[in-house]
Amino acid sequence: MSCYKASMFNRILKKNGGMILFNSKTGPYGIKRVAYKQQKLVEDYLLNPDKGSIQDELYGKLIEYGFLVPKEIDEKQIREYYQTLALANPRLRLVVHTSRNCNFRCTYCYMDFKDESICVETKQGIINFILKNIQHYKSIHISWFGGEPLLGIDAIKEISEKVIDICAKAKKPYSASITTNGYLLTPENIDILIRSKVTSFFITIDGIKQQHDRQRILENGDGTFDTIINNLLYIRDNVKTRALNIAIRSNMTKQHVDALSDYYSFYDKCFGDDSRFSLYAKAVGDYGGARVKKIQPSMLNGMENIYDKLSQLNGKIKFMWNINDLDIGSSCCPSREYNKFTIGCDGSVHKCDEDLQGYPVGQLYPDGRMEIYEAEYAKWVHIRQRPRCDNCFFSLICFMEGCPKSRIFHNTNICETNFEEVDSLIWWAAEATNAKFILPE
Amino acid sequence: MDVNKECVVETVTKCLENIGVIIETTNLEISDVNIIEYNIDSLDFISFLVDLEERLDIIIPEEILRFDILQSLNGFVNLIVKIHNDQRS
Repeated sequence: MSCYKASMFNRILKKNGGMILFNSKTGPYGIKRVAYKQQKLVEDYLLNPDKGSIQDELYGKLIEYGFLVPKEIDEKQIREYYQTLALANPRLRLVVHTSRNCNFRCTYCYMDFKDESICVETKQGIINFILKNIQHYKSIHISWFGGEPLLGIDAIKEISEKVIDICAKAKKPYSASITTNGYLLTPENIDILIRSKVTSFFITIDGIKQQHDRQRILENGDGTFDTIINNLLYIRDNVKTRALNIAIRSNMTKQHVDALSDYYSFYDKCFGDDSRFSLYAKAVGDYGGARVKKIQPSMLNGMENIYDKLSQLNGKIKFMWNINDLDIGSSCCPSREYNKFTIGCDGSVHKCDEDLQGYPVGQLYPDGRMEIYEAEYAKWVHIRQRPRCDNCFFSLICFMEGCPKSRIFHNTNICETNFEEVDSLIWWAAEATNAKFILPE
Repeated sequence: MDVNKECVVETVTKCLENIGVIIETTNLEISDVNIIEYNIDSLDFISFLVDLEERLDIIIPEEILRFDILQSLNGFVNLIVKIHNDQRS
């Protein structure tokens, strides 16, 4: 009798005579291919581990790569450990809305724009909060968000200068990221952002020019593609530091699928030789709002077709964020971390980055005091247990709840995972990470 | 102008302090330090590199942007000295 069992985090996938093994604990870089002749035996071992022996090389490899685990290991307890770890992340993560306005009017955008910028009291509140509480945290990270955060570039500069100084004096690491439409990433603004230690950029460009300029337009209806690409080319050619991550996010519709090859070759040609740039493809989702109704017929059900097609493309530019979607906890919203707060322009404190309409979980005052509304805050920060998800391989990735907002505001309790999409992503990640055979034939 | 190793050690020590890693860096050749043991994560690492680039006015090449480069602080310092002097020559 063997002392091993199959890991509950395994996913075995078969297609066109091929077979791959994925385990959500070892993640995308732990994916293994199985040679045709070994497939039946691998399945036998994973279905009935008592049949095998550690003397057998293939069985030994299944143990080595985490597909078979010792029987005494309680993997649900391990999952709970990771859930706790994520919840209690010692980094202070502030998502700061510098502006509620946006210079774009994207066809699918769900937000209502207001001509409101971050107020003086909120800026003071953020600086004073960090100053007073820095010793409680391991490090500080600010994500600049909006609206369009670059409409508030002066606030980014002002807050960053003060916070960088506070962190340096307290000997705490400081880092920053920005989610922007890229239109205002001018050389002057890039310079300010680099000085403000912004090292991660999330920039949305929806495909190639024709597609992008249909969806992501200025308030006056003009296209925005050329300006954004020129801004990124300026970064490629003039910003010297290599310690940057620039993720180009594309919101995909049916039209994008038809032109996927053109899309990929365009970005590969422009940015494939610069590893600071990566792509991130996502299906346009219906998050509500009036504008999205107009493009509903062209919306995708999921990404599975796209992942299948991407695996056939060759080039240098990588889809890093898509691959990272298979890491532990990556499908679980960071809003559930104790130390993650989204700060509205008026100092209201929220958990969700994108919905400042709902009930705030607190209020930040100019003196740096953050009042927390316990009842609201407590709805977000807890370890989710859902009996029907208890044995699912994906539960280590989604922590049994993708979007807490759906549960809290819409009272939905459904599994949000599209497993066909996840399986396609695993197949594609096997290609993208050049997954090796568990044992050569 | 070429930079000497002591100057780089001093700057690296300062940058490490800024990410909360306080270490003894005298005599690195004899008692090397593994920075990875100090529980820093990828964001801290990037923050450290950006600070170092700024202070030494260098561009750290891509092949060094790997976490495991900090397994040997002595090796890392030697590398930075070389990068600095190469970029000045």
